[in-house]
Amino acid sequence: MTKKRNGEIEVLRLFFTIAVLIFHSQFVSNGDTYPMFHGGWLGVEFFFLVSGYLMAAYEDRLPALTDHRKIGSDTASCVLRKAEILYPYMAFAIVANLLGWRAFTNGMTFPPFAAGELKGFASSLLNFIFPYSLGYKDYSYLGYSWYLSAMIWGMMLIFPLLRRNRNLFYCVLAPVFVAFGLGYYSGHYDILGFVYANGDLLSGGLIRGIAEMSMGCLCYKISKKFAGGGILSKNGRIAITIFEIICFSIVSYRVVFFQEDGVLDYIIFFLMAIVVTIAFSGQSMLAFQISGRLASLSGKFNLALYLNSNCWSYMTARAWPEMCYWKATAVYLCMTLVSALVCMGVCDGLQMLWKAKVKEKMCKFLLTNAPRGGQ
Amino acid sequence: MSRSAFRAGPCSQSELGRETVKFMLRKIKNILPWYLFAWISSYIILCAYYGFDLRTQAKMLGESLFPTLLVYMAGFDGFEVVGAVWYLSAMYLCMPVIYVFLRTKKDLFVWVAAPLLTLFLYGYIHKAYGGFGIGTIWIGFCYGGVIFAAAGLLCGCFCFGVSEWLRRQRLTKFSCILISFLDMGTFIVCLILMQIRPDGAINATMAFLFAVVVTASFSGKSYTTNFFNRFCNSALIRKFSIAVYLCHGRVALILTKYFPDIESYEVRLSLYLVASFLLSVLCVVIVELVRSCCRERGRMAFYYLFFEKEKR
Repeated sequence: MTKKRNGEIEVLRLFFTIAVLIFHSQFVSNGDTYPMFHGGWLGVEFFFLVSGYLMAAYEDRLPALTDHRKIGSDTASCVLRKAEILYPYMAFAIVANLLGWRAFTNGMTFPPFAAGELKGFASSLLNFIFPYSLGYKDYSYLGYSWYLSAMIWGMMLIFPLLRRNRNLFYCVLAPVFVAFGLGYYSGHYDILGFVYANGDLLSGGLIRGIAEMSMGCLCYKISKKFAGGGILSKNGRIAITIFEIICFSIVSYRVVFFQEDGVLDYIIFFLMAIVVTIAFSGQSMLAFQISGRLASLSGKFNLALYLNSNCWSYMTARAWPEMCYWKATAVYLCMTLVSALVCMGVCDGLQMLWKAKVKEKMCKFLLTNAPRGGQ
Repeated sequence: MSRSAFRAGPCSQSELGRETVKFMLRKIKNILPWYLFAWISSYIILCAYYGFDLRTQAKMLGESLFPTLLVYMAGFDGFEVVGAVWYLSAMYLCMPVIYVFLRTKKDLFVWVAAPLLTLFLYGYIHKAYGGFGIGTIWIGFCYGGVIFAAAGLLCGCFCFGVSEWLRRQRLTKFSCILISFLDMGTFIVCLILMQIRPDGAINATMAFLFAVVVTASFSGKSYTTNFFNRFCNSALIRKFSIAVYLCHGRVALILTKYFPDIESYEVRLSLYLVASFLLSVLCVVIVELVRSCCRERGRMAFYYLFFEKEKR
């Protein structure tokens, strides 16, 4: 029997993925202003929070650390686990981007790749070591990869600290990272949506990732205190549900209707953190459970949507430059949806094949002491 | 802070974080009632002065969230309701980090790291900014107040080490008299310097002179301190000092609003001091009243409303 997962979080994740997608619809029509979802980029904040939460939950499930020399291998396992999920989707998105780009911009020609495209392709391959939040220039076909990079490198920095001393991390380091990370962002860049660095030591995206995933870890710690049920009375549960609804209403109003970026976005981020904490605690009256399989599919679907959206936003603009915003957005969303479904099918199929056949054979071929069953 | 860290028992690595949180909560709990009073009174004064409508008030409340939560010094800009809280914000941001080091490496920290870092940080501020007035200046990665507060707190840690060492010594009467003169004399020199050199050039000198005063006072060897301890109600003075510091920020607005025609500086100053004094007295009275009446009842009501029986 598969383990039950939190359905409320999956619904929220879908909402914020759609928000990001529609925010990126600003690129579909040449010149038209987009009327809604100006704050769609705030969806990334939600993803960082959830990533931080899940990382802390994973760390909590590991046995207590007895040998500090194992921190490195534990960290590598955590990051590779995440990368293993991302790689097939990234590979699909890069190929789809490349083919789509050629088909809709220059048409298919021979030889298949011009020099500039090869540069883009090489840059896209570099995505597999997630360099683009570290300051490397991004020429790749895979758009919006800064988020994945910031998440992976942020984990590399946060996880060992969490693993070494949980208590110190939750009580001192994480709040300090949140305060000074987002504080630096506010003081230096002013708005929260800034991503790339211009001559700074670290890119904005990475600092944002570290600070927000640290907040996600704190959400885990707080929600764990409430999780398990039976602590709050009925009045308490009603109060917490009302509070969650109010917080989410303010966040969604900002994301959908409000057009100005500014200091208030930091408050929106903290309201989002409250929503995540309450949703994960299971104490809200809106909480419901879904099967682990469905949750996993939902997570993959959101990832596929996110990664496949880039090419279609640009391609729609290139292929149908005269189309009005609404039509172009509809085309872009439909194409992204279809592309994401195909991506999921292909990636899951390949992953199953890999686990069933290829991995074992490859291990036998490459390693003299290959473990049985391709483990 | 150093005294708390030294008084606490042996440091357990697995409990270090929780211990730091408890220490910080104790600090926050001490200041909270005063801060709440100051916030409410400042808010009323601001609304009366500017005549804010409801919409502006809502906007102001939103923008004042981070300064109100005292995280403003990390870089979160916003509207300050209570004036001059940068000091509290910077102090609360630096304290947990310093406390952790104090608990893990007491001796090394107090005798080596703290004095060295104090020298480097004060030196940096002095060289780069020509004075210590950088509390609200953005210095690239945080507000200057954070660095300033860190330097001050570290200097305090070193002062604690020296004063404890002095306390353990068996000094002659002459030495105690010498320390008393050092205590009082340095303090008077500081006051004179503040009056004649208000520019930033001698800020670093002043900081070190204050360190001497603090060390001498805390050593317990100064007759001056003993005299004040015997004849003054130090608890009341402490409360009143907090109230004055937190409540004075917006008092000037009252004078501008209701006495716009007074031109004489002396009269305006006297009015300002009297108004600050009265507001502070009101603050002490109300805070003490509320504290004695409502603390336990408020807590019980909260738990009764929101938690199951076994958790109350």
